[in-house]
Amino acid sequence: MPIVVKNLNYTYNPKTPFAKQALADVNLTVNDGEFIGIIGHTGSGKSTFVQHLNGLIKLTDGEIIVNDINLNDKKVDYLKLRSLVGMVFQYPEYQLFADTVKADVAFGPKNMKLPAEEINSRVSEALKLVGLNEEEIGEKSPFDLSGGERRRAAIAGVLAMKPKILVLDEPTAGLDPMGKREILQLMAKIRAEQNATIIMISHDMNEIYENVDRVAVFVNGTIKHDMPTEELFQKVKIEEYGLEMPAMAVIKKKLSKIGVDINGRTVTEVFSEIVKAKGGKNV
Amino acid sequence: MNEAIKITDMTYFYRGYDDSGLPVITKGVENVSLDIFQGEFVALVGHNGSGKSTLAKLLNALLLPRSGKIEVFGMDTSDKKNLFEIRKSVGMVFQNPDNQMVASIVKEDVAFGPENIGIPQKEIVTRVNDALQAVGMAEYADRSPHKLSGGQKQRIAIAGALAIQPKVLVLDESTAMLDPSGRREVIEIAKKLNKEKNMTIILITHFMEEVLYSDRVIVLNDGEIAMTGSPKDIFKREDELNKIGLRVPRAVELARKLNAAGFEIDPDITDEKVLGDKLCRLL
Repeated sequence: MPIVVKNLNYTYNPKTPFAKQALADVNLTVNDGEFIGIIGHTGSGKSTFVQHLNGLIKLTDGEIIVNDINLNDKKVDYLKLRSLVGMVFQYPEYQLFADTVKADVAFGPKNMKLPAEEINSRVSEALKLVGLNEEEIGEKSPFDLSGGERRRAAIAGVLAMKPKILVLDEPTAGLDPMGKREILQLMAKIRAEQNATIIMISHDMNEIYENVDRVAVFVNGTIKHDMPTEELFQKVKIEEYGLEMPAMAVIKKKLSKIGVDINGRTVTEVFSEIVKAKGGKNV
Repeated sequence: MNEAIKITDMTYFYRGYDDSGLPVITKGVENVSLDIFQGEFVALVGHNGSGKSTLAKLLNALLLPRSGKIEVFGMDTSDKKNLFEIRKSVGMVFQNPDNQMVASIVKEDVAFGPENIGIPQKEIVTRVNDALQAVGMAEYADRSPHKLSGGQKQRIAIAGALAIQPKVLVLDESTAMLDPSGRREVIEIAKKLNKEKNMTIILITHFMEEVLYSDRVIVLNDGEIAMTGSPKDIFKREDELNKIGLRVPRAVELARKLNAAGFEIDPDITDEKVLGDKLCRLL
């Protein structure tokens, strides 16, 4: 079951002199198993929007249906909603708090009041999924891990709740290139193995370009564009919204103007396509 | 050229305790020797935990070397009587703009530094105006910093550092949390200060594209200097960079791959637009 958002509006501090409209008539449908990217300048409404999806911000104006949960209903089962929609905030490692990595990852499933055995198996599974060795680091303090490991431990805490929908707010910010790659590989794995729907906010256009199927562009609180990734970067003047073109998209756009169409979005893919396009010609 | 900073065989380690309460030592930086010259634009890169921020904190005596020596304009940072002058000479801007705002009005925020070092009121006004002018934020002097975009907030944080009139400006991952246009704003300001005011810039970053603006790149790995050289020289050592968790910008990666495959492409190309144009002529 998909996520359907219709005519969503949101104003911070309504009916006060500080009132500020953060979302204006947002409409979006996300299908099961989709990997969708959300981009937009600071303050464009991205975070306000995703916080609606698991009820962290209460719906005040508009319609939201997540799977079979209608957020317009008088009584919404927020516990159910929050185990359905896993939310990984910016710099999630700052939210690690328990004495050991295992205890931290177990926090979510414990709140779901699962039996102890189930909690243990979920913790093991989640740590394995994020590529952390339970034997080695399970009993360690989360603060003894490296930056990238801490981030993955924090994500494991969300995965242990087995969410069908995973929302990540700038999951790679502040990580080194290798750490970024690990997180993105992890997301691909989660998607393949758990058939999860993933919504990712990012300021890194290269990683958006290489990883997501579809992109929603937030501009001043509303979704200005919503289209397949390739189409967006080839057709829309993204720079006008304070964003930038991914490096490979720049090259492909130039080549398509002279009639050479290149598939693929990663450096490796684009490279082999260029070699193919060159074909028999002398290089 | 005059040395702004002279580091001789410097080592710093953190003291802590392990789970059983026994003292442990964690490496910060080890055997670092490095000269940074006045007016130089230096980029400092390395994986998470490689010692970049430790080094930054040693530069203005927030940390003191355990062994070896660091001199800022000839002043030994370990000598307490130099502390005041060193802090005035080296301005720092950190990652999170929201953690660096202290006042509710922009000009008061910028005035915080000079007030603290006892500058007379009249001169503070001039310095604040000049600093805001330098970062292009003069018209925001009377606004609240909390309503600004991420890039604007970081420009205010830079203005706050400039109001002390430092000779060296350290940007410690100051672009990590910004959107693409915010990142560009901060980099443009750094370039301008370097060119027009001959300010020494030390840019710590995970974005390898930002390294391109520097005169010299210093790569840290596990607390030690692994490489130094111009951006082009560093990018030539792609395999070594990959091994220590870094990667070259995507355009560089593609140019190098194409060159190796026999294409008439300069492997030193760093700009995707230039590479795209070149490919248009070749295909």
